[in-house]
Order: sequence, then C-alpha cells, then structure tokens
Amino acid sequence: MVIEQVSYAVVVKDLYKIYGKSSVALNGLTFSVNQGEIYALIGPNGSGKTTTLRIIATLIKPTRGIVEVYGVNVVKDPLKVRSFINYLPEEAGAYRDLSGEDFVKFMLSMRYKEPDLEKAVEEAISISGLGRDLKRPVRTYSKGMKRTLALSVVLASKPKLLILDEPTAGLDVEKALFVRELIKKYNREHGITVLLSSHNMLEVEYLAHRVGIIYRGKLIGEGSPREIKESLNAENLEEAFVKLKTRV
Amino acid sequence: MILSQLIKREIKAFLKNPGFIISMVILFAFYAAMGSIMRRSVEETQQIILQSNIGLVVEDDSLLTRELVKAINETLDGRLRTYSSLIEAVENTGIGVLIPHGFTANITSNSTTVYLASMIKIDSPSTTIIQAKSGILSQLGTLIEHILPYVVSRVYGYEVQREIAVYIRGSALFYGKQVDATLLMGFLTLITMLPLFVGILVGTNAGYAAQLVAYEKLEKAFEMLLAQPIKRSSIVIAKIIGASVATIIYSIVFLASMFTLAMGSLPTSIQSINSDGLNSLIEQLSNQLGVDVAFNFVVSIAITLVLGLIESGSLGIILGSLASDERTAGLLITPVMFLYIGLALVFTFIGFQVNVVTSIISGIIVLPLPVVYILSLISGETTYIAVSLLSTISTCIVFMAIAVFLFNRDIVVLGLRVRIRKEQ
Repeated sequence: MVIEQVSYAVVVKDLYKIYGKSSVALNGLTFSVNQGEIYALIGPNGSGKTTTLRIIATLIKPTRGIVEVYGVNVVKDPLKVRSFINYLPEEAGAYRDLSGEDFVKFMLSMRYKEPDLEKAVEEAISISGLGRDLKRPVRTYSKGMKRTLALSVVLASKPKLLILDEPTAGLDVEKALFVRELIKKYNREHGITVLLSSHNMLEVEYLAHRVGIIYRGKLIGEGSPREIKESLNAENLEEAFVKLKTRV
Repeated sequence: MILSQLIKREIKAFLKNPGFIISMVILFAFYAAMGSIMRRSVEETQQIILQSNIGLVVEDDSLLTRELVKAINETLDGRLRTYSSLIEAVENTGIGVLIPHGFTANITSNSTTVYLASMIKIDSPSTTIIQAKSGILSQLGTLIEHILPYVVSRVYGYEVQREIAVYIRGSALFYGKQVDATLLMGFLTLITMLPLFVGILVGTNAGYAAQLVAYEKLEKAFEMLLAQPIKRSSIVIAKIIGASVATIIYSIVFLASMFTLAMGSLPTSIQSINSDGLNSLIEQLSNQLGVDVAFNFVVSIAITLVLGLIESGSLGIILGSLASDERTAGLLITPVMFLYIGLALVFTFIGFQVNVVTSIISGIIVLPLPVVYILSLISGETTYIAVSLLSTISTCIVFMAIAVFLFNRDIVVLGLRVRIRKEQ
C-alpha cells in the first residue's frame, strides 16, 4: 500500500517498534510532516523519539507500520530515501583521525562529485564558522565544535528532509543559538524540511512550525506550538506536555 | 569515487592510529627474540632418542657385518628388522638403513670414513616426524661409530687404532618421490610455518576490521555514514579493503621480522649460502619433487593471503557489527584471533593427510591452504586444490553476505544485546 501524499515530506502510520520480545519503543505512532516545515518531536527520555528518527533515516527497521519519505517507503527503497534525507544523530561526532576539513570533504563526497563537491565543501566550511580550526584534527575539538561541524555537513548537503536528533543537546547557550539560527535559515532560504527531536521546549517553540508530542511510543498531541498551548490553556509547551501526559 | 573515498578514509584510520604502529614495533622485537629461543629448542630436540623399529638391508654380507648387526640389535633391544631392499624396509618400518657393498673392505682398509645409505618415509607435512626419524638415524650412526671398533676387534683380533666416521647418506620417500632428506626437512619446515604466518596475519586482519566498525561507532560518525545514499555493501567492501591494506603493511614488517628470526636462528655456515646456492637447492628440490617449488610457493601464499584477508576481514566486520562499542569488539575479536593463531599452531606441528575432508576444512579455515596446495601438487592429486579453493571462496562469500546482511539490520546500529535472566 502506498500512501502517496505529495504535500507530505514524511508520513508515519501506525508505527510499531518492539526490541526483543517485549520492549515496546513505538506503539502505533502516527504523524506526518508537511513539505518545507520544521516539525519537532518532543517527549521525555525513552518516549521513542530517537527510534522514530532512526526508522525514518533508514537506520533501523520498523516492526510494523508504514513510513514514507516523499512517497518512498523506507523499508522497500531505503537507498532512494537516503538520497532525499540527511541525518544528524544525537551526539554526532566525526572521525577523530581526520581534520575538520577532511571530514567535511569525506562526508560530502558521498553525495557530490566535482565541481559541485567543492562548492558544497566551501559552503559547509562557511556554515561551520570554524575557520582555521578546520585544519586541526577532530580529536582536538570541543563537543560544540564537533556538533557544529557535523551540522554544517548535513546542511551543506541540502537534503529535501533534514532529520536532527537533539541538535542542541549539550551545547552552551551561544552555540545552541547559533545552531538554531542555522536550522531556521536553511529551512527558510532553501526550503529544507526539518524533522527534529528535542527536550528543550523553548527551543521547539522558537523553531518549530508544528510539534508532535510523543509519550510511550504514541503521539498524544500535535499542532503548532500556539494551537497546543491554546487548546490546553497552557502557558508554555512544558505545561502543555504535563497536561497531556496526565490524560494518557 | 565514493568507494575510493571510503577506502582512503579506512586506510587513514589505521595509519593515524598509534596502537597500530606500536603493535608492529612489538611484533618485530618479539620475533627477533623468538629466533634464539627456537634455535635452543631445536638443539634440545636433536637429543631426543625415539623408540621405533629400524629396517635394515645388508648388501655387504660378511662376518663383520653379521656381527655388527647382531651388536646393534642387542644395543637397540631387538629393534632391528632385516629386509631385502631399502624400499621394502622403509615401507615396513618407516626407517630403512642399508649397509652397502664394500663396507667391510672399507673397514679392513685404512679408510677413516664409511658410508651407509638410509631412507625415511614421510607421508605428512609434519616436521616433528621427519625430525624424529632423522634423529634415530643420527643416533644409529653414532652407535655404529662406537660399536665398530669392538666388533672389528672381536672378528679380526686386532684393535682399530684410528677413528672411523660413519656417515648416513639420507633420502626420503615423500609421497612416493625419493627426495634428499636434508632438502625435504628444509622444505617441510618452510611449508609448515606457512599456516602460522597466515594465521597471524588473518587473525590480525579480523581484529583490524572489527576495530574499523567499532571505532566508527565510538566516534559517533557511524550513523551519519549509514544515512548517506550509498550501498551498505560498499561500506563493507571498503572496510575489508581498508583492513587488508593495513594488514599488508603489517605483513611487510612481519616478513622483515621473520627474516631476522631466520637469520638469527640458523647456524652461521648455512647463513653463508649465497643466492646462487639457494637457487641451486630450490632447483634440486623442484626436480626431485617434480614441482616448481619457488613459483608454487609464491602462488599458494598469494592466493591464501588474498582469500584469507577477505574471509577474516568479513568475519571482523561481522563481529564489529555485533559490538555496541570498541571494548565489546575487542572482547569478541580476541578469541577469534587466538583461534586463528591456535589453529595455525596445530597445523604447524600436527601433520595431516590431504583428502577431501581436510581440503574442505583447510579451505574453510584458510590457514593450511598453502600446505594443501603444495602437497596436492606433489602427490598429483590436484583435485584437492580445487576442493580447498572452492571451500575458501564459498566461505568468503558466506561471510561477506552475512556482513552485508548485518549492515542492513538494526543490530549494526544498536549492537548485540545479550540479556541474562537473573534467577529469583
């Protein structure tokens, strides 16, 4: 069955993921992401955010359910899906033995050939803002620098769908702001659809057009941050989440 | 383009790894020390007297030889058996000694040297067997040297004033071919070292390949790589090639170490053999065995290394895929490395008959492949080469398929999760 919805970048329907025999990570998750929007999955630890993103990024397979990216089933044609997407895992790092610049070149060479590769590398270098530090080995980088480096690679690859797992987790305020601005800029200027997960409700309110609240592998609320807050009479998303959780 | 980038990346990962460099230095020092230890070990082995029957052929029938045989037999507790030909003696006892025509005349004249002919039967590549049998012959020669003056005194009634040296000219019946025993010993030593050589390399390669996956997981770049629009089989192939290149570099150092070991362990007289002399020996051996020894050595090692690197690389990647981090990978790969090296040691010291079963097993574990290859050529049973190669190639394909399969499964991201249920 194909759920071809041209306006949807991502369609997730009745998604289950069970680890081993009984560890249920996703329990009938259903949501969709519109093309060109920033969609944020929020929820507590262990709610299934990372599992969901990994399935959409074709890293792991669902136990059952349907996931399509731009109309392409992630299980049936993962290679094609990978050509639409790029994925920044939680705590993404880089090869310690490479310099920052070599890491950028290596990763982008998976998608581009010369002369486009050179342009993409230049763009990634510019995005990263790491300057001369790019010549240094990645093992000397701080966590924030590694995160910025990895983000610059996925942004410069200009995927149709960018999947970001906790993009600002562990970053200081300045770096977090920098990363958020980059995400917003690339969404606005290049029309990149962004699907991200976050614990940070303030970040989500600032970034996301729509939010999906996930709890115990199920979506318990969805809408724009304002819609969610208004419908629950909550002052912020944190309060909205707590109210929704008590209803489950 | 993508594959070359992947390969470059994998090779760089090794060349910039201090552990890789240090391990090569340790290896070199280790084998240089092993050279002197092995020399002492061989000298001790030469002192061992083995108990077994000896087939004797007496061409020179005289009172002296009859008395000599009687005396030897008494000294050896009746272990002498007489036969009409050396081949018959060898076929029945494994060790044959011939007292040639003119032996008595040599003794009664003023000759200080007498010669005996000998033959030992070798039907396995084990050097232990040839060493043991050669040891018996050596002991026999010494025994005759000691007994001879007394026998002469008893038979002829005078005392021998001179020392008579007894030389036993040795040959071997090796897979039905008569070969000079010394040459054969050198040849067998060389081919039985090959499984150990291959074992160390493929064990190392498996470890390298597992590390490539495990370290990538540690560096947190693995999931990013897996999300790129590239076939997982390309990543697997790149890792196999990357690990293999590192192992080839390692093997060059290894060979240099082995050369140092060989030069350190050989007596100075043998070290002085020049390349012309060596070529002459190889040519003699090739003529006696009916096989181009040098060429087939190179071919068999090259085939074994290529297939061994593919097989062990795939196995390493399988284990690296199962590991959730580099420590788990280390834990998984260490027994495999020891298994490879352990199997190599077994094949080095225990002889085996080449047949369909051993060819298949040799093919699966790769290590004894050069031995099977060369022995099959010598015995003329070349079908076994095809059987063992088919077996290795099949194993390589199966391992690679498993590696690619795992790279397309959750386990490569999540790692192997073993849950131990606690008893209440």
